[in-house]
Amino acid sequence: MSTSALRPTDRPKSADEDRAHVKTRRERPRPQVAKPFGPLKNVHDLRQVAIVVLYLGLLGTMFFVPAARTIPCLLFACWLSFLNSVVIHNSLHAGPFKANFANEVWRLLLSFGSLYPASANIPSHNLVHHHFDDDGQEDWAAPEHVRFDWHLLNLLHFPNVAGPRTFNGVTRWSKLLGRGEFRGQYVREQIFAFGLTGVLLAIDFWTALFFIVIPQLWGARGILRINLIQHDGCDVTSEWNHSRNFVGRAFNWVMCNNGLHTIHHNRAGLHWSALQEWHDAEAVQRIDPSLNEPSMVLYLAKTYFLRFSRPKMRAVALAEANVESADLASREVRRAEVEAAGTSA
Amino acid sequence: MLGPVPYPVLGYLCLAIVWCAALLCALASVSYARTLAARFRSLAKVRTGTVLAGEGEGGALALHAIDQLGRAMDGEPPAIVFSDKTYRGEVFGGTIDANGSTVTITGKGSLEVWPDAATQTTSATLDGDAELDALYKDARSSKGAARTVSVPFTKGKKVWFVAEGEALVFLSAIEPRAFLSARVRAHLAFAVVELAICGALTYVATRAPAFGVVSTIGGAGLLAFFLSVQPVGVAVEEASREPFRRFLRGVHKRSAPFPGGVVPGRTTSRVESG
Repeated sequence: MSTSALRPTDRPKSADEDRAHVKTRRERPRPQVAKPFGPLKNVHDLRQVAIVVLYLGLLGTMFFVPAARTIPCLLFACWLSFLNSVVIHNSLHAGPFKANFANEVWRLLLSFGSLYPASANIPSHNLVHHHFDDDGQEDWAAPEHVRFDWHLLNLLHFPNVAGPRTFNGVTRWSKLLGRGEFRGQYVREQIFAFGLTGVLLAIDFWTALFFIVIPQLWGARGILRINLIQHDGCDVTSEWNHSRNFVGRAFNWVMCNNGLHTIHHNRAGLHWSALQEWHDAEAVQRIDPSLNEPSMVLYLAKTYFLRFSRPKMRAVALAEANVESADLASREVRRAEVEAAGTSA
Repeated sequence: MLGPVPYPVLGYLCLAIVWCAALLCALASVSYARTLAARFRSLAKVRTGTVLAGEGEGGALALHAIDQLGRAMDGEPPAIVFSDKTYRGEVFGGTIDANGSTVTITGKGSLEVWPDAATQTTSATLDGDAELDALYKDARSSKGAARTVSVPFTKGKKVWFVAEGEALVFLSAIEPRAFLSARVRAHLAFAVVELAICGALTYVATRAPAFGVVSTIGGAGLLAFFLSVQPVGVAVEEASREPFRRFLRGVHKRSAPFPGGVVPGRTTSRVESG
């Protein structure tokens, strides 16, 4: 059964169950009531659609309307581009549309928005990053790839090393048996993203560079940086303390709950709209408090801007040692499930 | 502030972004070179010798091994691509002839061992189609086909080593200081060359008239530079991995399609047309 339709609180309760059993049952996935909306599988995905429509509309406006080429519009576009990458992440875990064709078109638009083929997320994020180096493959976006003493330089440099490693890895992975459908999808997205950007550059190089390419790259490089921000100093060998969470409610509303990273890693099939309640039900009690940050802005300030050294790793995994195990399949099983699920979202 | 932003301001912003990336790549390369140089200095006491005897399997003094995972590739002829999982080295004890004096090694355990690329590649080569066929069924599955590529250090092998008493602390089949110094030079060269290219393109991009044809060519060049300097930097770094953890990987192809179209691991045979 897919965990994409689960709800931690919808459970039958039995007075006969013993205490431990109740605890296990509480965390067992239960079917979630689907909330479709028109062509969307889930009404919450309207938020994602709105983000992308707003972003692409803003790019088009800046390109075609000189009066819109302002600093505020450019900064807003960069921010929306980052959210476009967040939507890529969510959409490649679960396509938001009921129709495959609509999801394919959606991925093309998203690929243009961040100037990389959205399907790259399937191997690089869903398969490799979600399971770190469990398969022997080093995580292409592991924090250890940057090694400056001054941590701010690591934040700035991280996309320069994680990006190429990711695309090299995706290329190797795409040649494996049974990846033909993925390769076609990947190539189509590249042609659309790079082709349309190339056309815009050919029409008006400087306008396209300033008002299309800068936002695109800001989002693409920003989502790579999130790997450093959310995993540096964590224990990726642990079950629950491999990720840093940003738990602000307003932040997570805008970010489509992407601040809740631990539960997303452990239950990757969950729809993003369900992450908050699962985070509260399963993750909070097992995560070292230092990995639940109230604000990303404050975290960035204290970690990268107000210090010149890289924070030392703490024994964060101790937090889960004394808490009862969750009803969670092993990483190996979870990885096999993702592999078996196929290569298209 | 709220009106259209002048293009020269954005041009300088782009220049700052490109130079930031270029300087970071150069700095990372120099930093890596410093790490390699420190390793170079730490191997000042390296000695040369020849393995006389070993207490490991087949008379091996030591062993370097890579655990690999093979997965079937698409296309014909059938092929398996391997990825590296873990790198390890082990010393078993034995003796080394170091220019006439015999060094006895008694300690056993894990050790940083550097194999030579040629021997490693030879060891990794599959012995014909039969060996590939034996791995192919697992290679088609999600768990993959596991194998270990071992390079033993046996009698007669020329080695570079560092020993403390009777304990071996480093062993190599190649001259380690030459390897390290070459990689240090490669990193420094990358840093200098990429900054020089960035400087040259900046010169072109800032030629008057601003945003004219020449300036635009320079801008396009800087965009291409920005996108390409990063993978080149990563390639230089990956080529500098010490032989202990050098990528072996590898693709092994069958000489021809499976006889009769019968694919190992499939429950039904594939019928070739014609």
